[in-house]
Amino acid sequence: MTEILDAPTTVPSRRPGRPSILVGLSFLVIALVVVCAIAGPALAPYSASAQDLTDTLAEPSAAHLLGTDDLGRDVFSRILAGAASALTGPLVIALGAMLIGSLLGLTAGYRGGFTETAIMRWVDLMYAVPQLLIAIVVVGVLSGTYWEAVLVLIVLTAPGDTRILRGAAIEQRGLPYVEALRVLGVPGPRILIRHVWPTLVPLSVAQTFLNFATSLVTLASLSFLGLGVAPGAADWGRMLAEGRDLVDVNPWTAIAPGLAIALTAAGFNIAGDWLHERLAGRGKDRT
Amino acid sequence: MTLRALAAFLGRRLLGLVLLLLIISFLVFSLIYLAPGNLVDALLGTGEKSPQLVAAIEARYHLDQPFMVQYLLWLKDAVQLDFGTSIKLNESVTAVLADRMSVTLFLGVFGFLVAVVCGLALGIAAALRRGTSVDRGAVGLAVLGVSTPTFATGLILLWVFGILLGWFPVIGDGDPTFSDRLWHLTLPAIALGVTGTALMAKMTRAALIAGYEQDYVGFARSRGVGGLRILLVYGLRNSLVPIVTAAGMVITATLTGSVLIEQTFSLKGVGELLISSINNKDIPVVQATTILVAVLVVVVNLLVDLSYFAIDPRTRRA
Amino acid sequence: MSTPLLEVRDLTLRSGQGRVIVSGVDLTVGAGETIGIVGESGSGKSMTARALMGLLPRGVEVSGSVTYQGRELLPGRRGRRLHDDFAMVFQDPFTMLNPLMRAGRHISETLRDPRGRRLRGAAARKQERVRLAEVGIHDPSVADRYPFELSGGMRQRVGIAATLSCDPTLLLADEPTTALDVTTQAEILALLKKIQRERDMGMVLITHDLGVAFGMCDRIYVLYAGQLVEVGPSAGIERRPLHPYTQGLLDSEPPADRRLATLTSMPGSVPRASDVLGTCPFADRCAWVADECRRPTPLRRTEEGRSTACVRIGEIGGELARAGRRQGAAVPAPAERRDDLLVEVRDLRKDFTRAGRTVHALRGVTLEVGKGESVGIVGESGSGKTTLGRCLVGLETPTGGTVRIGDVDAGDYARLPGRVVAALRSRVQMAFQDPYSTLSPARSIGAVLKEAIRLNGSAPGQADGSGRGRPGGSGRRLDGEVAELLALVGLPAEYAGRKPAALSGGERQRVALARALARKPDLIVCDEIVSALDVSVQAQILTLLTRLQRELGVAYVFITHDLAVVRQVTDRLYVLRHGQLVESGATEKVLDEPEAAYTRTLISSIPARTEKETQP
Repeated sequence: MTEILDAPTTVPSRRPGRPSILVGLSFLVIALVVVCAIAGPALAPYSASAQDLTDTLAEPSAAHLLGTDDLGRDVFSRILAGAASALTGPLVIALGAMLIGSLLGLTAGYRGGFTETAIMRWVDLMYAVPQLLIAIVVVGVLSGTYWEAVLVLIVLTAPGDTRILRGAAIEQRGLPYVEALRVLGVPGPRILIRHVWPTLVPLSVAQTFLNFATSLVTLASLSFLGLGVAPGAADWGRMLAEGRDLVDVNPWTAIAPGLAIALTAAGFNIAGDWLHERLAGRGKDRT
Repeated sequence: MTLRALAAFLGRRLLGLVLLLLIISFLVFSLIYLAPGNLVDALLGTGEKSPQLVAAIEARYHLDQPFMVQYLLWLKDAVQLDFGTSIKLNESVTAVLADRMSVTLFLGVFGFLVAVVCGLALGIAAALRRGTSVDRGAVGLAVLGVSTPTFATGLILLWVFGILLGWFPVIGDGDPTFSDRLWHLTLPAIALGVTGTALMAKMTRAALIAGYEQDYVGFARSRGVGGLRILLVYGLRNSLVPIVTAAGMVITATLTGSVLIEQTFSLKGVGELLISSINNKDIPVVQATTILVAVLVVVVNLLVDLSYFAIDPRTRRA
Repeated sequence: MSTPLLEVRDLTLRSGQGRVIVSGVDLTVGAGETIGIVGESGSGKSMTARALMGLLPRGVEVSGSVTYQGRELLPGRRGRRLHDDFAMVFQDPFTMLNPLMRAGRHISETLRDPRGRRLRGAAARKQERVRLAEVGIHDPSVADRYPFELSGGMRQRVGIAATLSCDPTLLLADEPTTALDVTTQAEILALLKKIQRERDMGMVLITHDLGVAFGMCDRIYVLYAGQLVEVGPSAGIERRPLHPYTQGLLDSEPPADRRLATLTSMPGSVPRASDVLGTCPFADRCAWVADECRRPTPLRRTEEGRSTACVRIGEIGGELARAGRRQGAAVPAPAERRDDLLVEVRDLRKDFTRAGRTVHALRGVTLEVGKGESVGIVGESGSGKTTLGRCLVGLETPTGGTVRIGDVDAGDYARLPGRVVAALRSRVQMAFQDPYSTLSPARSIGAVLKEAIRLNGSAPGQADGSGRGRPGGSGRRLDGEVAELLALVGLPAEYAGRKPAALSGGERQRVALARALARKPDLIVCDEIVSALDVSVQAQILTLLTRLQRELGVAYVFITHDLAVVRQVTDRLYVLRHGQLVESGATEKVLDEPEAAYTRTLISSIPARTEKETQP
């Protein structure tokens, strides 16, 4: 059952065996977001915080590609500037979860016994509560900053990685090659690090992409609710919240950041699913 | 499976459930201590602090007692559905919650139904037409659905159907009559259901495709069993476990999503209450809301687990 | 001759990428006739059966002609049977029944009453009972059980009853007994034969086992890498094959009734169908290959009812027949050598507890293995044979009894000091069944072997004069040792750089043996190591095992379900059933003069080749 829960859903390609155009587009979107995150302010036509009270709520035009908001700030420039916070937080969350998840999942799956029970009880606990709600309450009550929100989300995301890697490790543990290494006399930790782990890295990488997408959406949800980011910051979720009331004047103040979040998350989701299918199946070379 | 074994399983699960709720309630209770600033200030909010009021608060929350005693006293009240008084609204928390419940419940059930019906339909269509444009479209929609935050979906729907087309109201939950509610909550429910639909479609498709690759489906085909029967008795029946699991996840997603949707559509539901209470540091309301949602989620998870028994004879007789 | 029941002409199957899977297959089935399609894995036999049923996987395209009673059935409709009178028995009884449906419902769900409505209630029950009785199930409660509550043999019977529910005139059976225990296999084959006769159906039996085909079929089609190489009556092919591949297949099959000095084995492994288009598919493995074999080799009629694709059969026919005789010589198994005891197992017990239920896998087994001796453990599934092997290498901890290896009490590896375990590891090694998961997928062959060699250096108390096991052997010395090991198991040194994915099943088993040998063990526990391999490759591995025993003096505990195989490679034999020892003794004696009734049943269940001895 968990295989189905954790199974990827790749958009089927028109030509089987080759990545679809969508997968290519996804990597393009990812590349674009990365470029914006690094060089966004330099590429932007205006400063993200520059107000122009004489030109508020302008419709999209050549001067302002996506118009301006109620303070006359250029929406397009703010979208470019927002890429940085849209990328760093989720990246830290996904990588942190991968690290913790790999460590705990492999240990639990390979060692078994009390270690496994303890780790999995923790995972069960984290699974039993809705993540976004916990994040909202904790970050909200603590008046947490962006990085505190990131920290909370690492703790909430790691159990997923742990569960997946534990399952995969258990599957590998029962395979003859692991048993043969045990009989050969190869020490347990060495089997785990040199033989089992490399077969699970692709799975872990693919999962990291998917986690990135989820974290992006969750962080944006928090900032939409005003949690974790200061008002007025060039953050996609925050911009959307502030644009909500302007939707009948310049809808792009709200629609543009919404699309930015959705496209970036979709890019990472599609890429992750594709990697999952491509790489994670590689270890199983039965013909 | 014997009745005794079922009872033992139920007992074990219920015990786990109680334990889980204890842990959650403890964490939720601890929240007020983790909140920045003076506890009395937090509990009093921004209002005026007369010595009498401070003393009353200390007595009400047993602040003179050790932490664990405070927790146990709070828990004792909580079990009796007494979460104290809302600092902001100066009303019993339970009453405030009850007042907000109807909108959220309506929205939640509506959104859940949208998700399950649309998700199942999309998932089945994609699996049956695997590799075709139907499949590509369904999977594409599903990916977009999980990638788009609920509030962004809500906003786009609001703009297109509320403002551009003017088909639906933009704000509020309407009169408490069913038809007006339905009209007001249709856009929010659809927006709320999108993530669930995507989840449900992905899972149904994956489960059905895996099911159709099973030997027993090939064997049924070879015996001339009809397509509809294969779908229902072979495909869906054997996919029920992941599908029910997905439905459980959709409930959770709907619960949390309603917080965002109520904010987007300015609905006065429990979610909106939670956010405004967080902003106002109205801790008793936050505690009660969190516990309420936690209990709901935990109970749903238990029901999902129990449904496996009904679905699969192997769990019953093994 | 009247119109045959089924006539297939030029059947060609292509995968999604346009690669050919099967090319130009012609088949004929008369009413009441049984034909066999015999081939190893990759021959395309199962795909052919699926094509005839109209059950090809997505993307596989079919061309050619299939006529039933003179009517063309191709191309057919996707997801539908080619014809309602066709039915197919599937290979794996454990996966072919709907796990959430009563056994009986599988039989009655396709039955209709005279008004065309699905049978329900009492009428359905009655039919279920009658049809279960036809397949030898007389306990009506079986109909109400779920598949997981039935044994493999029972499930296969239910499957056959369900197959027959449409009262077919043509029955296809795709390896119907491969997943079953040997005693059940014989019962199911007999049942199929009986039903085929009673109902006068045409039958197509798909099998990898020539012995089974000879016993069941009127005519046999030998399929190799997607092409037919020989067609003829069973008796004729059994007496005198007209294609080197068929001869090779016959010779590779170890006889159950005698031990051969050397098993003949074909070199290499089965190529992909798409790689041998337009040539004789067997050319690369054939001893008689000539230039004309590199051109298309269609089937040609040679004599009444027989045809072969071998273009050189006229020249080599006599030689082929002689080659078949050469291997007929039987040798006695080596005399018992038990002077020096290596392993001593006393009253070994092992219980498993799963989901609150205890399974007694081993109930007091006693066993001895001498130095350099090859000991067979034979049993069906559930006999505990694998558990016994795993106890020897510490993969399972026995519940009771003792395991002594040399002078060490090896009952519980976890309790032994690391030094002692290390010493044990260098004495006892293991090889596993599944060639596809026996090697680390992420690491090269060389890396795995080097890792094993290095372990010798770190194992204290390793006195060996060869100087191989010194710690920290230089890189070049390690490379040399890897090459030596590979040569020992008959692989070229270049294989050190390859990943397991680039190797065939047989090659992987060779590497697995090399890996075990790297620790220079006194004993290798071989758990069904040839049962997943094609018969031509199986013979290669068995030959390798005998050679290694002779050259290195290594002892084996050879675990298998296959009596013919065990006869070729073991000196002494233990027969296990339900975790208990049924019989033991010299292999030859146990197999020729079995004392226990169970052993006799096992032996009589081997699909018999009617002709026992090839005349010299």
